[in-house]
Amino acid sequence: MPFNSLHFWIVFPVIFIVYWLIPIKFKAVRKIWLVLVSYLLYMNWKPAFAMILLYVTAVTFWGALSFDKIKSKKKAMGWVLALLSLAPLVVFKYYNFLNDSLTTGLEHAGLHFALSGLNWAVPVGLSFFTFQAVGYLFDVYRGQYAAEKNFLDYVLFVSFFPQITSGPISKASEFLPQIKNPVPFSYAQGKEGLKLLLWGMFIKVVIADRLGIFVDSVYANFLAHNGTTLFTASLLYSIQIYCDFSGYSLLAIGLGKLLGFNLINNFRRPYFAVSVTDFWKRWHISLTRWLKDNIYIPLGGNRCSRARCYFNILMTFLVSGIWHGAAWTFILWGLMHGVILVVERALGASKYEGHNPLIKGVRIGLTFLIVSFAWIFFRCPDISTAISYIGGIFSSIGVPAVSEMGGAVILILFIALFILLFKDIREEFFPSKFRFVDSGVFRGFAYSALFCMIILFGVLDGGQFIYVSF
Amino acid sequence: MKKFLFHILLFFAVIGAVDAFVGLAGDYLQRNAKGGKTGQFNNLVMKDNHDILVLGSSRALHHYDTPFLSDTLGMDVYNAGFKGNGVILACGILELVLKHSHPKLIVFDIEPAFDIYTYEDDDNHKRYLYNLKPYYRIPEIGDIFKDISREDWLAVHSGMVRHNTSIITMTVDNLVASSKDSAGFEPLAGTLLSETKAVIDPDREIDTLKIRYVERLIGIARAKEIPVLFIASPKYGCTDSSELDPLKGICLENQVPFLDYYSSQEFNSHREWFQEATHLNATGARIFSSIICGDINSVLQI
Repeated sequence: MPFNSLHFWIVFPVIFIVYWLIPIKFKAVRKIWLVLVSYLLYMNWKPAFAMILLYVTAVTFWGALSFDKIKSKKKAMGWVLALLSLAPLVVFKYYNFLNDSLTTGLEHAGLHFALSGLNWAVPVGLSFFTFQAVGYLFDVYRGQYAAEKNFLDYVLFVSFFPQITSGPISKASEFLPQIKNPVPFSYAQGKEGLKLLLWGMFIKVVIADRLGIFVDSVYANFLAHNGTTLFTASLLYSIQIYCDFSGYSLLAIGLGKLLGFNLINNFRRPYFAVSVTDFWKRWHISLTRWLKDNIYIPLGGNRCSRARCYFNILMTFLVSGIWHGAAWTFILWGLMHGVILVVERALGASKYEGHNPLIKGVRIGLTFLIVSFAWIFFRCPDISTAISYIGGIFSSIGVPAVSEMGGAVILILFIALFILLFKDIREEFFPSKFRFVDSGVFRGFAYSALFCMIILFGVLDGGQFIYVSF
Repeated sequence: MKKFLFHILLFFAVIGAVDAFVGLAGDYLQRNAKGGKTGQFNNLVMKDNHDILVLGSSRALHHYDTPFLSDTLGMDVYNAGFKGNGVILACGILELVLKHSHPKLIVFDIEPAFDIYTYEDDDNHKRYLYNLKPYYRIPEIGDIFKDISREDWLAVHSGMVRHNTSIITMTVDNLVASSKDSAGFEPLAGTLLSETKAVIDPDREIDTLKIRYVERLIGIARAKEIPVLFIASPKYGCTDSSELDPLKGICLENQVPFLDYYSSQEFNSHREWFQEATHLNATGARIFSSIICGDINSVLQI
């Protein structure tokens, strides 16, 4: 059930009230309530998906416990358990892609071999909860976290409804202790949660979904548009995907806070990054951390030869690309980022610690353009379409067709983007300036205005979050 | 916790007051628009009388050159096509129009995605209700809301939801009277640049709700003894119109005329008449309108 649907906001107050009505001494009852709610909400997508969730939970739980018992052949056991845990992800998400790629490859070699494809829907959030569970398994394998012995706690860790469909991908060390030791209701935490919900919803339904209507129409019919429109749409897609995904993350974190849990912050103003390396320290932070802990460092990280380190970066981003989707576009997108990171590292351009605003501005602009260029591959259905789209950008200059959005929508977006920019610029560059925004009166007005803007100007169709499909 | 809940209630009390104000203001702006889209739509469904009403999607909006049709037929022809919409909105419009007017003919242009089959952007058909929100208190429109989405029926009681997105346009339309009068028709400029064809979603299925609304549209018109003419306007490169068969069957069953230009050879090889694969440009629309004049005359003479 998407967090931006009316159904969810009818259900959530019940979840919230019942949860806090259960006395803290009955913490097992509280956990059972959250597990029940998490599974029911998840089954709302499709009941059968819960079996996959339960399977991944069970395999990683019992698997982690078995590491304590088996002293020899631990590595082999680790591989078997990793493969068993990742099996649903491979089958549901990648089988058709692997099958198609293999068939096409063999056909090029003159061999005709075809397996029938699977016509199954990919369980929602499969990549997210699988990575969270497998991350836990690896942590236990490496001895960084003791195997969890309470199945109920672990089930809640994997299935906690705010994060199950699109993360953030939590680490056991930061989330399981919170499950084990529930806290009493905190006014400050609750207020913080509501603020995040409000802001997350605002950037999702007012900015991302509004931009999405224009971006989708341009991408769907890009041959009919001039290069300037295509370029504009590609930049707007960058803003759309940021507001969509960070909006979801803020909703997840906000819901977590309302229930007394602190989830990892997933975004830190990524488009103010001064390099693509810096971008990955600010974008989808929980995934970057997972990839660093479980792919990059095990491969050797940067404590090896320069060539090996570059290889490790490329492999990490290859996995990132594959994780995002079963298509060559995602693989290419991941590799592009990997190559850019390697180039930045080779040129020593990964960081900028100077204070020259001009150099910083140019680096931020350039990084945004590079990231936006890569998003074209991410957005297009296949590589040839992406190449045609990029070709279209350079084909003709004209007036961007933003007027297709209509004057009212342009005005709404202008105001909303101004608010977003003001907030992000202040937090990034002037955290101690513009103190008026901290006053109670201003905040009260701002919260009411944001809420009204969501209802008055948001796209209220409960539209899907982009990352849910990953 | 008590303080927290009290502050939430206080917040929603303020929002409730704002919502009531926006609802009242929006309803006033809707009723009194001087022009623009708001005035045009409000006049269409609450005031105007037209001899012939063209309903349908953007393909209706861009394909039926109503000023030309009015001149040629000597009748007042109005284009009430809506982008991204189809038979569900058309039923609502027709219900509202027939409360004060009695057209001689209803022309409905078919877009299979909006009128026959499931469509990936449908969102449980809720989006087809958007333009009907301000009229939810009228029983026939209320029935459509309740039929399609009880949730939206409840939500539309909120003033801010009811006037979602439209409040700015409505305000402008109250301040400025649009002088543009093209009888609803919106011609498209430009020419299809490459050999692209309309893509058909392979996973689509027949949408029983849309089919039901096609039958409902016929029923509404029939109850007032108004003839309906279904037309499938051309698509570029389309050589097979079998996807229209379910609708043709309904028309045959109900003895409603159906004109199929969907894969017409007169059009499907003329790229210069299309803006893109599914939409004729202004030139194509004029040629298409001149062709269907005779068809409309024939139906009116029956």
